[in-house]
Amino acid sequence: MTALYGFGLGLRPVHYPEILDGAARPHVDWFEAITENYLVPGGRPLANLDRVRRDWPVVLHGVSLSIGGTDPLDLDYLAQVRSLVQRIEPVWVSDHLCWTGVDGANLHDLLPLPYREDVVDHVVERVLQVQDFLGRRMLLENVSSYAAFRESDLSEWAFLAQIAERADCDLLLDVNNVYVSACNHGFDAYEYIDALPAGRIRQIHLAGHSQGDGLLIDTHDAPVTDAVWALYGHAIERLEYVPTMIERDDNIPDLATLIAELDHARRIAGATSTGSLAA
Amino acid sequence: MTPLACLQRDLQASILDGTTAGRVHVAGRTDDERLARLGVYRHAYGARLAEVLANDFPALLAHLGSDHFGRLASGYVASRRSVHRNVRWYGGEFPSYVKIAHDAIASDLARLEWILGRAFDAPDAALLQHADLMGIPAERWAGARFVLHPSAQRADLSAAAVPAWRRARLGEPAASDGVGGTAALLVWRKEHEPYFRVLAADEAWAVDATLGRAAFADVCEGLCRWHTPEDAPTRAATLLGNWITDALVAWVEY
Repeated sequence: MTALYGFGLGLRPVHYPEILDGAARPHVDWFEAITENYLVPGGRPLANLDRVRRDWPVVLHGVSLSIGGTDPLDLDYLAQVRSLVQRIEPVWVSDHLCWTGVDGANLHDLLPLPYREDVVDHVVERVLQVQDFLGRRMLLENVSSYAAFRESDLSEWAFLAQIAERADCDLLLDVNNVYVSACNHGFDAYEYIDALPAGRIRQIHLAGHSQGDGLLIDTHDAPVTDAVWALYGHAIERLEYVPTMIERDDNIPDLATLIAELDHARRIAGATSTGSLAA
Repeated sequence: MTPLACLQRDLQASILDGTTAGRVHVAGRTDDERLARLGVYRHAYGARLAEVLANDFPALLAHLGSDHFGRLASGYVASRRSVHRNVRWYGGEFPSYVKIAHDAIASDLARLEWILGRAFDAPDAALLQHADLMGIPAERWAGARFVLHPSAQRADLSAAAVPAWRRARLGEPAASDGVGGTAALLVWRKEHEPYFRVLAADEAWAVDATLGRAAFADVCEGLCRWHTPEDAPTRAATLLGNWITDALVAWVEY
């Protein structure tokens, strides 16, 4: 798999003027584009993504593959993703270890799975199909969750690790999601990260969350919290170097504010002042 | 052990319809805790789709006000489950829903916004230039078929929807200005921006005919409903020239 270096941001349309037409090139090493936002026939979204791609490495991040779903894999959707991959040539393609609906419905959410051996088998089979269809290895991301299942008999990290090993896919470690789920379900976030297969973690997500009624909610509407920074520090110490990015989807600040937050990740990871790290 | 598909159906029913089916699968000390955990997903589903509608129909939101719009959006979300991978397409039936639940002007305002949205990310195409017309041999003009840009769409809407849209865009309060009848609209995209304009009756007919793949001679003949046989070709040429200037013509077959 092609390498990716440095620190990235989630590509959001509100930042296009600063990214594409700003006076100076933003101090961002790569961008992550939400796949579904660009599964459109044409127009400005694709034109802007083409422009970003000319100047930066791009990774594609999907939200509706439903790899853990029980409806058949949507081959029309996958064909659209494949076309976008051919057009953009992303460094890699990722989606979430979750399901998004059943019987044709789409709940536009990243719903948790029961952590069971039969579900490992089910997901592995589907990951293999997707990787075969796309002709490339994919990354799976751990999701934040607010509900766990009585019938789970594996830990989330064992579930994730087994799928990655058996499907020979890579992992996108969302440190904020680990923290949110750890608080919501009462497990040890550090134990989770220590148990993952380090060699398969290709990318890290950081984001903010909010306090709901007794549960933490993965809202992506606030800066990364100190607790998540601390967990990131632990992760990056164990993993040594993994490309890291910040996601922000609501209350989106200007690009300079996000880059300042990204610089904090750079400092934690011991990056140079240019933000370009060797692998 | 519950088959995964059954578990997912139960959870989905709890999220979409508020049933208690999913509760039995969820870990928790009490029923209240289990319902609260599922409630996060149920709340997120409704809030997310209502936000999508607000983003896709900002002029209707301004026209109706947030309370009224919110009730319409909630009703739509409750009655139309999403089947789209890309939430971009969820609001496609909202204009029809607004017509049933509210009135035709609000519905046509929503329809205008939806059509503008479709123009925004319609397929790309090369554009015909004025100079390209010089390449059409004189004997081929009668049979030439001009193909409009894929973003070009025609819509006949309540005339009152147009000033309502403009007021909403300018942040002016909604008002009844007594505009009646129907407006023939042409919507398209130029340099990545969606546009629309109200057409005269003859141009509306000519656009419809061109979208229907009529030959240039047939367009000229049809324009005789509004113009003399001597003036109709001039009017057709003028329209064609304006369309090319407005980035509306993709290519010509002759």
